[in-house]
Amino acid sequence: MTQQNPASENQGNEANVKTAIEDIALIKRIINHAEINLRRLGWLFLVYGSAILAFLAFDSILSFVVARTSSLQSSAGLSIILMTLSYAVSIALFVLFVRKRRNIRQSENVYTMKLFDLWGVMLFAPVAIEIVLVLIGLAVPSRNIVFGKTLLSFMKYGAICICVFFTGHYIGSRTMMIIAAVLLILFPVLFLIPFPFFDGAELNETADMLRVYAYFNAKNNLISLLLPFVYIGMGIYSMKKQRGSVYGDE
Amino acid sequence: MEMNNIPEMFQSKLRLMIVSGLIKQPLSFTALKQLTGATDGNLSVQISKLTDAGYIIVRKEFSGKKPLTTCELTQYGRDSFRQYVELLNSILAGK
Repeated sequence: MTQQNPASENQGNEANVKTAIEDIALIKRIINHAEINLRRLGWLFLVYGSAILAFLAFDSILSFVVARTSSLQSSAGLSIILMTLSYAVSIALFVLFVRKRRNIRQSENVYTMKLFDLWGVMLFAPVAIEIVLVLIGLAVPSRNIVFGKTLLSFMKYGAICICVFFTGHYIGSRTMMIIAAVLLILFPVLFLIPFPFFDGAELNETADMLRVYAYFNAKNNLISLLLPFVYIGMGIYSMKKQRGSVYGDE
Repeated sequence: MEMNNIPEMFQSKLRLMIVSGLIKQPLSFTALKQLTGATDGNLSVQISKLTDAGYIIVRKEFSGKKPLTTCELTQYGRDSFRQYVELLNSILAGK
């Protein structure tokens, strides 16, 4: 049986504690850095939200000016140009998204990529479906196309709220989950609040159908105005939550 | 597990960094390189050692035309890491 020198035993313990402190600090730092990089997602939301909001502002101001100063035909012509321009903006944003995705593909962890892809689908798939609906509408004029387009907007809003909720759950953000829940509660409220020109009359008359169109369009505009703020809010939140990732930024 | 009986895999800081990085999700070789700041050669050697010891598995796929190497922690590696963290905590708690 050997007896240990108390001094050397004490030195050994100190060395153990020092190693333990160093290793714990190292493990914490690495785990923290390896977490989902929200800066990528924040960039996506900020760019997308800002572009859509800027376009909406441009669209509203120009439409207002033209409607007050020009004929009905000019207004109709302008709305076609603006619609085409809005799709061009969406396509430009999609090109930016693809380029960013290509840049980060090799250097990002798989969960960040999955989240980035999910939101890419959420933001761009409705635009693609809308373009298809418009093209079908050009080929086969039908009232159902107008309904389809406006209903798509409602579905997009609902789907995005659900996506915000699950993104919050995925990254462990209670704030994001609460905001998503509030937006989800707002969804049926937005849908149910009647506008003055919609009185719930039977829908078998052309005039009533026009009221329904106007109702849907007004709701559609409300959602179109709300969503960019949701994107910008999520962008700012994501950027603030995960700054200075080990992966850096292009 | 005693401090003087630490598994060889955790005696290297780089191997500890690799395992810590993989604890929450699989990572690509490039991501691990950026995470640890290690050189390609050094990282490859340590990944091979961890693979041989059964701590991680390495998947080689193609992302488009580019090869993509992804590392993932095994259950054995996860358990060993958990035991090591428990040991570190017990040392700091003075047990």
